[in-house]
Amino acid sequence: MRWDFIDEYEAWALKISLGLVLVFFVAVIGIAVLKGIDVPTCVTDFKPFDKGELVQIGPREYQLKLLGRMWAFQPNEVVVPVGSKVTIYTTSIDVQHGFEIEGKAVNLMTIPGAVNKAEVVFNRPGEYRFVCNEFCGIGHQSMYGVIKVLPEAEYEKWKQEHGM
Amino acid sequence: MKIERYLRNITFWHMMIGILSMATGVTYGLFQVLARAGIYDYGIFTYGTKLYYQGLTLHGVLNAIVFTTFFIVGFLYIVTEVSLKRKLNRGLVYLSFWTMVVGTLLAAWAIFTNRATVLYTFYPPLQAHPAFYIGATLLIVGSWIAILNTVITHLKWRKENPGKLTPPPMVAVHATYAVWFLATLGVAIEVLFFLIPWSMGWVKSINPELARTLFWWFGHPLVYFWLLPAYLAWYFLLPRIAGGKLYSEPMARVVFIMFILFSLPVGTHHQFSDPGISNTWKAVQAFLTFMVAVPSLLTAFNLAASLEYAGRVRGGNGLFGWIKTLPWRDYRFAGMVGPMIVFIFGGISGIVNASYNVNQVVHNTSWIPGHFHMTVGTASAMTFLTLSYILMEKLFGKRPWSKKLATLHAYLWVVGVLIFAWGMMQLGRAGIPRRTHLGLSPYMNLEEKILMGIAAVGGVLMFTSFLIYFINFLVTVFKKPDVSEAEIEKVDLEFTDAYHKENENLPRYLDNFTIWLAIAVFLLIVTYGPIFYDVFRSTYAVPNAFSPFNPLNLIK
Amino acid sequence: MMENRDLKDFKPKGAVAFFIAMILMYAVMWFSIYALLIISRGG
Repeated sequence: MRWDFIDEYEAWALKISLGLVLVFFVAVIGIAVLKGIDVPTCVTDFKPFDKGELVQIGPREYQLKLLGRMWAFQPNEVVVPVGSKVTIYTTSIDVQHGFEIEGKAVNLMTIPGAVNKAEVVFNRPGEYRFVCNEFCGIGHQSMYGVIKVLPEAEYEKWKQEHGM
Repeated sequence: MKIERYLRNITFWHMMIGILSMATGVTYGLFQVLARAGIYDYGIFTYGTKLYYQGLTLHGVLNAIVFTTFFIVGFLYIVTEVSLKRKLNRGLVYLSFWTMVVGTLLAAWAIFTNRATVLYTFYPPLQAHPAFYIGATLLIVGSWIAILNTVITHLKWRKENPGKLTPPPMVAVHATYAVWFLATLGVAIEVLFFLIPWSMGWVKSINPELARTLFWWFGHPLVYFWLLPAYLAWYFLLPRIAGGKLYSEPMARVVFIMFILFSLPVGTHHQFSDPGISNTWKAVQAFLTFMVAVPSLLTAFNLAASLEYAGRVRGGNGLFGWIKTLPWRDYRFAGMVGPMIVFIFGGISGIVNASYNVNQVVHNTSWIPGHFHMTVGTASAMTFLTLSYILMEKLFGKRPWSKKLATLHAYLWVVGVLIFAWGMMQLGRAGIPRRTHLGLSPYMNLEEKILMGIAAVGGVLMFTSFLIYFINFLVTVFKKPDVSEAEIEKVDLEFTDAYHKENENLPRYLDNFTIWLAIAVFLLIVTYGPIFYDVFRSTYAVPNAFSPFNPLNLIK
Repeated sequence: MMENRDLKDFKPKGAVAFFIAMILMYAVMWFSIYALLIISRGG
């Protein structure tokens, strides 16, 4: 293999280009491995479901089975206390949808015949809007919901009001 | 070398069908940006299409599939005959053309009659009329016939010129078609084995995740099918137009070879958010996507050096003195360097999209159309419109009716698309989804509506720019030639000279396409094998088929 | 159009400067979205 057809400026540009993309790659894999900021992966231990619900599985720990269906998420309103860790599973009973929590960089394709999963921690109280971001028919633009993260006291009050 | 009249006419019709498709597609682009900004909704003035999503399907298919495929096939015919100095097979040219036309008419009928409002990615279980899928297949098969024709012509040239290096523009043609052919295998499998049987009702179930994975095997190399003909023009026509030479010919060849290698095993960066694919293989394809960014970075350097060379020849000195002396008023220069400048921002937004977990911030948001209107929408589309002027002059001796207008609409488009892309990308950072009729959606806040308004201003400027082009081009088509018939015969497509030229001691392996194709196929199998294994073991077929208009399953 | 296009031993210094500026701009733009990811996932 001879490389003399590349002059030194081009060789230099090649090294800088490789260097740039390698810096990006190390930065990206770094936070995936060290801080667990990752992309969805294969889920083989959870079957597609056809009923969406929020289930408490521990103090400050919830499992949200989120169902995508033509033109409304089920459930489309979720209330949890501050500091909760929510494991979200998504699937769809009809066409492809996209589940995206704004401001949380949670983005799960919601596909019939497949289950997607993400773990999200809500340390800051507030309302987190989630929307469908994959075209699913003429009602697609109205398909959204909200996750309400309440401070401790408010959450207790909310639970009484809703007889939980 | 004389290009026969039949090929001049048929190349004209490839170009004309593409430009008429784009004229329609760009009009729907205007309706979309107005509808998303809540300024004007689909209604009586939108040629009977009553629906944002039908217009969006037309916008995507007519611009990104019909305009690009027809224009590229026509342009590459001329490059092949001029650079190889050999005749293409006339029968195959007609066969390819008519197959593509029939396919396009079938698909267009389905979309215009609102039977295929499934967008240009046509993800199942949303189902379109079979005519849509059959039309798309015929368009692809038609382009395969053009590839066959090009390969046959090249092999004949090879036999008559043993040991001679393939002319660089031809390397770009082969790279474009190699990437396109290996890419279309994915969507051909999806459509022939799954979508047509399913939409005809012969098969009662479909695995949506499998269909998506097959589509995106095709979906990303499709992007390089759009980009490489623009690179061909930038590398081999622009330096001469600018008054200089291409800085390094061997590096141009290396860049096109890198595209053959790395264009295919990267489609999964469109599926980082998908279920059913392990994040290990997503990371592998993220790495390979970074590798395919390198030839584009090398192109930026090689072309910057070529423009510097031209600027110096024209008397520019000092570190950046060469920029002032470049022919910015020349419509051919404006029409290629304008898109190059926009493509700088298209490039980095593309690298963000491909950056594994960083993709989670922007996936399926307005950031993505912000990105690709700078890449296919400007780098490819605008370069092709500039090439349409150049081809009208080379093939029919007709210079543009107004060179000033041609330069004006080039820069107007650059301004428009940068405003549009900025607005859309800010919306994307706020998490606002793409492909969504925001004018009707209840979840837009005031700040987001303003951002969409800014994007709409950019969109209107883009539409105005295209309108100026369209008028200028039509008048050019119908005006009398500026030179006599005899002179047209002599007019050749002047490919550029080079500062670092290729010579006989260029290593032979750089001209052996079989090696690079073999490695590309190997990489495709090695990276996509495990991905399909994941999809098969963790996703399922479902008995679903839905029209986008009602939530009732068409399969009982 | 000037026909003599030949420059002796041309050094693309301007292109090198442009390329460095572009690479730096790329890094700034990329890390701003990278930071947005880390902040969003932070909680």
